Amino acid sequence: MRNRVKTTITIVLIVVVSLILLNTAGVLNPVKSIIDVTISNPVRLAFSEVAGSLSKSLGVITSIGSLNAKNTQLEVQVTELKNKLSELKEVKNENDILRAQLGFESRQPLKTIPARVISFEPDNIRKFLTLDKGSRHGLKKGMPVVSSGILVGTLDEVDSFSSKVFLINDPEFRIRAIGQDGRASGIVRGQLGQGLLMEKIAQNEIINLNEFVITAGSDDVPKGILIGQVEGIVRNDNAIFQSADLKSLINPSKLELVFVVTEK
Amino acid sequence: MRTFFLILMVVLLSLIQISGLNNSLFAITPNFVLAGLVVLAMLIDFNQLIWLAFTGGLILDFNSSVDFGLNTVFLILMILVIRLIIKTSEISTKLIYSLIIVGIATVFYNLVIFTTIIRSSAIINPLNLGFRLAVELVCNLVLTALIYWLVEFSLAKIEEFNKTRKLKLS
Repeated sequence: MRNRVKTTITIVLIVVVSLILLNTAGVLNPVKSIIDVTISNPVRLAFSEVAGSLSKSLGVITSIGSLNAKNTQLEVQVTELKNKLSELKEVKNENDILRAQLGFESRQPLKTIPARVISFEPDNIRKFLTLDKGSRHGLKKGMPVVSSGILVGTLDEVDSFSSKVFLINDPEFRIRAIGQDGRASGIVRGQLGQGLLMEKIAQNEIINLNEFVITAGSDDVPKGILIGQVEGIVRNDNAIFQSADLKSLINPSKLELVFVVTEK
Repeated sequence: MRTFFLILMVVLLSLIQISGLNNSLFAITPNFVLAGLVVLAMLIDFNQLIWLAFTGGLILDFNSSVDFGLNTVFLILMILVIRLIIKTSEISTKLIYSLIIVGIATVFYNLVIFTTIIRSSAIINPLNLGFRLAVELVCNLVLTALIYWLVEFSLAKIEEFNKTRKLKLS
């Protein structure tokens, strides 16, 4: 009996160590791709969909009391946004005319590929999610991922038929950003279990409460993708930089469909 | 049938853990696999258990951003420690032991994952980290009690079914 246990332990440990070594050497990648396409992706997608609908139902039950107040608040917001939209249409027309007169190229819409979220990180510290699209669909490491025009994260690992998104609220995530009104530039970072933090903002730059923060543009990430809204500013006269707490405008843990920006 | 049920259970628990059915309570994911394996460690043979830990760990590793193999190694080591505890001490109330082990393993597992980001200059609010850990701990303990009851009930039913079948055959 004792020998049987020892043999089992030895076999399992040899298998585990071999798998780790094979994965490090990249030998497992073709096997992973086959498993992804045939079993893993469909099963994970099915589970994710069931979990999503169950989560939504639970959410509705728990928030039923506050629905009326939220509805009234949203109606007011819709009216305000309609007014803003008509103003913006006018501004856009003027902008188009001025761009044409100055010979500037008009802004092209971002090219995106839709992808479904098939799984989430199994622990509570790191923040990643897995998509059902990979390098075979044209995805590459570093590409930004958005949902409703808001930055979700960037692609971190890209396999043939699946990819992992490094979420904006992961404690190690960093991206260059600017304030939409005051144009203050800084670096946005994720905070464990909290919102986002925009730091390294020079003291002489202006950042205001409720101001929207957008991407500043880098190698793969285009300029102007919405990141969050300022909900607190930390300013100290003796410090070189100021920082701002940002409220994320999406909940990455509730995402079902996202868009990967493939071309700027 | 028993082995099939056990494998199915661990695969289902792993899939639930990565599915996102976790976001209702402060976006905390309870550790379904950990709770399930600790409960099984009290009830089934060690040889079966270590393969179940391997299966669960592998599914988590394929979906995790931490170093490949970390989840599998952690779960196997946990099973080995539980075996050592069972061998060296007299366990009468298995549920209480399961809860204690899940509690310790939850804290330890989070610390292991935490070491993957502690190298960087990540911003971590200790109060927030403590709160999240406490919520996860409570979730895991409740889950363990539920799984314990479910597994004990299912295994008893399977035993009953096997006995009836044997009697009918003889």
